Amino acid sequence: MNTKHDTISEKIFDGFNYFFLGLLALVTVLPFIYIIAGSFATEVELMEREFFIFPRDPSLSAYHYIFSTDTVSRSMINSVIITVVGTLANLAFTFTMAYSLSRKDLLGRNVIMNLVIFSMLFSGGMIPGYLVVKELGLLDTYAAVILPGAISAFNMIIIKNFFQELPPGLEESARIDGCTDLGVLWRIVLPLSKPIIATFGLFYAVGHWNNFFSALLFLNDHEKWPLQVILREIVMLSQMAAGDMSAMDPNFVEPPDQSVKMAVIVVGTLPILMVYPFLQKHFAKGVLLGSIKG
Amino acid sequence: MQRKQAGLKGSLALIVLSSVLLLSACSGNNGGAGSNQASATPTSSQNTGAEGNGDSAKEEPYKISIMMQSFDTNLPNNDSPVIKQLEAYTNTDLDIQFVPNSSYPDKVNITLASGQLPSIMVVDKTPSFISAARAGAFWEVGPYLKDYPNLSLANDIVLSNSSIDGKNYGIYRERVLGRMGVTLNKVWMDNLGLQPPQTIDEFYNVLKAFKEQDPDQNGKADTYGIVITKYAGPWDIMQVWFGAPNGWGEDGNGSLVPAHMTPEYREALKFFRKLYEEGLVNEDFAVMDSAVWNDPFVNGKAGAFVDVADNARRLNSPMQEKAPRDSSYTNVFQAPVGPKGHRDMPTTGYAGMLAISKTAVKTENELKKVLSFIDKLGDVEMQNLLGYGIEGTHYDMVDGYIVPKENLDAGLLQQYNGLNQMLTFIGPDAPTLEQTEINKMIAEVQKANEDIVVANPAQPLVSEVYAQKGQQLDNIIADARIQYIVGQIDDAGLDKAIELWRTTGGDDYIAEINKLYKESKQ
Repeated sequence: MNTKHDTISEKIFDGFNYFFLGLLALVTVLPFIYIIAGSFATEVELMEREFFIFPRDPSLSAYHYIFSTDTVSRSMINSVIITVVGTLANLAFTFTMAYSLSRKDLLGRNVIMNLVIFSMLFSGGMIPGYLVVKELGLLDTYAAVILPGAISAFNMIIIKNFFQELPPGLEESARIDGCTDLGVLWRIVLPLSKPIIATFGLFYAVGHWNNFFSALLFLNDHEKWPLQVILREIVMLSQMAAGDMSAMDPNFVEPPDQSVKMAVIVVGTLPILMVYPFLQKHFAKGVLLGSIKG
Repeated sequence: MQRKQAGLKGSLALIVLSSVLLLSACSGNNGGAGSNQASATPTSSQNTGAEGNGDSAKEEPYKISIMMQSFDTNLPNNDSPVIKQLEAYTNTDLDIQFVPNSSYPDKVNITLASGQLPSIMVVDKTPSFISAARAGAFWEVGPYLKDYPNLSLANDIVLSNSSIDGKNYGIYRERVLGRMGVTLNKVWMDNLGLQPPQTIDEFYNVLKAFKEQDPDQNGKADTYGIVITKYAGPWDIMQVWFGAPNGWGEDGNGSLVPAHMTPEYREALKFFRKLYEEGLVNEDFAVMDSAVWNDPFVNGKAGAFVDVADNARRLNSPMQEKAPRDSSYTNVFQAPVGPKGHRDMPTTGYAGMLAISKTAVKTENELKKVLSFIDKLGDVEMQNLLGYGIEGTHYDMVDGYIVPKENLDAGLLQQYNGLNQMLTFIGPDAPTLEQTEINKMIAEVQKANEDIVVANPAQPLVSEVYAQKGQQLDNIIADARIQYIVGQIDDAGLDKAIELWRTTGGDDYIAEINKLYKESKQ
C-alpha cells in the first residue's frame, strides 16, 4: 500500500481529515476540560460564566468539601470493590460459559444457546428482577449488584464465537501432550484470548463503575452506596432544587455548589479513565470479531 | 465416543467450577455484610441491655423501620448521637433507610410490589400508592389522630388534601400553605424609586422599568424583568392572580371546570404574551434549564422572580457572597391584586405523608406504638433535634432563637442531616432560626398569604383518567400555553389545543372529576 501521498487532492483530503478529526476530538474533550477547570473555580466565577479554561483564582475548596466527610471516599471504596469483584466474576462466568458453549460436543448446547438468546430478547423488567434478588436473600449485599448481571448474553456470544474460531489443531496437540480439559482452557485458550479478556474486562469494569441503578434498587444501607449514586444525587439535587421548591422543607439548604458538582464528576470519572491506557494496546485487536489475531 | 465423553466432562467441570465461584462470591459478600451488621449490633444490644437491667418496668424499645427520601449525600449512620437521642426519647429501635430523592418513586414502586414494606414509609399520592392503600396495604390512621396530643392538631384542609376516597392513609408532612411570593431586586427598586407593586398593572410597570430604565445604572440596556425557565411554575402562579382557578374552579352551577377553560386563563395568557413581546421575560424561557434559574437574577440581569417566598433568601445569599452588604439584596412581596381580587396559589400544604404499612405493623396495638412515635416527633424537643441537631453541639439557643454554630465540621453536620424528612411539623410551634431582615419579610408574606390563597377543590379527588392520561393531557395544555405566549399560535390555535385536550380524554376527566366532586360533597 502506498502510504506517501503526493497529489494535491490527496493532501487536501488528508488536511481535511486532520482538521475534522481534530475538531471532533476538541469537541469531545472540551466539556471535560471545562468540568475539570470548573471544579477548581469559585462559585461566583461559575455563576458569571466568565472564565474559559483557567479560573481567575483557582481554589481547592470543592475538593476540601467533598473529602471533608468520609462519604465520597467510602463510596469510592465501595465502587472499587464492586468493580473489581464484579469484573472478575463477570469474566469467570462469561468465559467459562462461552467456552463450554463453544464446544460442539456439549450436551444440550442448542437448548442452552436458545435460552441465552431468549434472555436477550425478553427481559422480566425491574419488579420481577427485584423479586428474584429479594427471594434469593441478596438484598442489601454487594452480591445483588454483581450477580444478576454476571453474564452479559451479548458479550458471551461474541466470546463464544471467538473460541470457535480457534484452530482445532491447537487443542488436539495439547491433548496429545497430556492436557486435561481445564488444562486446555487454562494453558492454551486463555493465553490466546488476552486481547479479548482485556477488552471485555474493560467493558464490564466500566459498566460496573458507571452503574448506579441496581445499587439504588438493591442497597438499602446508604453506607454501601457506590460513588455513582452519590454523584448522581448531587447532580440531580442541583437541578431539582430550582424546580419544585414547594415540596421542600422551608429550611431546605441550598443545593451543592456547581463547583462541588464538577469536582464529584472529576473524582467519579478519573479512576476509570486511568484504566484505559493500560488496556488500550489490547483494545483495537480485541473488539474485532472473528479472525484470529497474531 | 471416548473423546466426546471427555469433552462433556470437561464442560460439566467448567459449569461446576463457575457455580462454585458464584457461591463463593455470594458468601464472600454476605460475609462482608455480616461483619457490618456485627459491628453495628453490639452498640444497640448494649443499649437495650443497659435499659433492661436498669429498669425492668420500662418497655423494650419498639423496632420501627422508616423509609424516606434523602436530599443530601452525607447521611447519618447508626451510631449518630442524634439518632441515639431520638431512639431514647421515643423508646424505639430505629432502622432508617434513606433513598436518594431522584429515584424515590422507583423505590416506592418496587417496595410496594415486593410486599416487604417498612413500618413507616414516606409516600405521595401516586397511583401505585393509591391502589396499594385501597387494597388495604396501609392502616387508615384518620380515626386515631384525635387520641394523640400533637397529631390531633392536624389541619383539616390539609388532611382533606392528603386523603384518598375521604380516608387518611398517612400522616401528612406539613408545609406552609401560602408559600408563594414575588421576589424583587431591592437595589434596583431603590435606584428607580419604585414602590412595591400592589396591582398587576403596577407589577407590569416594575418589570417594564427593570427593562427600560437601566436599573443597575451601568448605562447599558442589559437587564430585563422576570426570569422563567422550562419549569412552568411561575405561569401557574401568575394566572391565579388573574382569577383563573387553581387547577379546578366552580363554574357557578356547582360543577368544576379546569383552569384552562376559563376566560380568566386567557386574560392571563394575553398578559404573558405582552411580557414576551416586550422582552420583559427571558426569550428562552421555554427551553432554559431550571438548574440555572437563579443565575440571571443573581448576576443582575433579571430583577423579578415568582416562586416560593423563601427563595428570596436563597437568591440573596450568593449575591451577598459576591459583594457583601448590610441590608438584603432582595425584597419579597405578596402577589399583586388582580381583576378578581387578591388571589394567590397555595401549595397543597403538605409534602408527602408517613404511611404505616400493615405488613410490618400487624396489630392495632403496634399501630398505636408507631402512631405515638410519630406523635412524639411533633414535640418541640424532637423538632429541634431532627431539624437542627443537639443543643451545644450543633446550635445554641439565643433569646429563644436557634443559632447554628458557625463553621461546623461536615462530619458533625452529618449526624443529623436528612433526619428532618421524618418530621410532620404537626405539633406546637418550635423555635426558629433567628429572623434576619429577609426572613422576617418571608414570614410576613407567608402569613398574609393564608387569607388570599385559592384552594383547588379537586385536590382530594383521585381520578382514574388522570392516572392514565394525566401526563399527556397536561402536556397538551402546557405546550399550547408556551406557543401562545411566544406567538406561535393565536386564540384559534389555543381553542384547537383545548379541543384536542377534550377529545384525548379531557372530557372524560371533567366528567369523572365532577362525579367525584359531587360524591365528596354529599
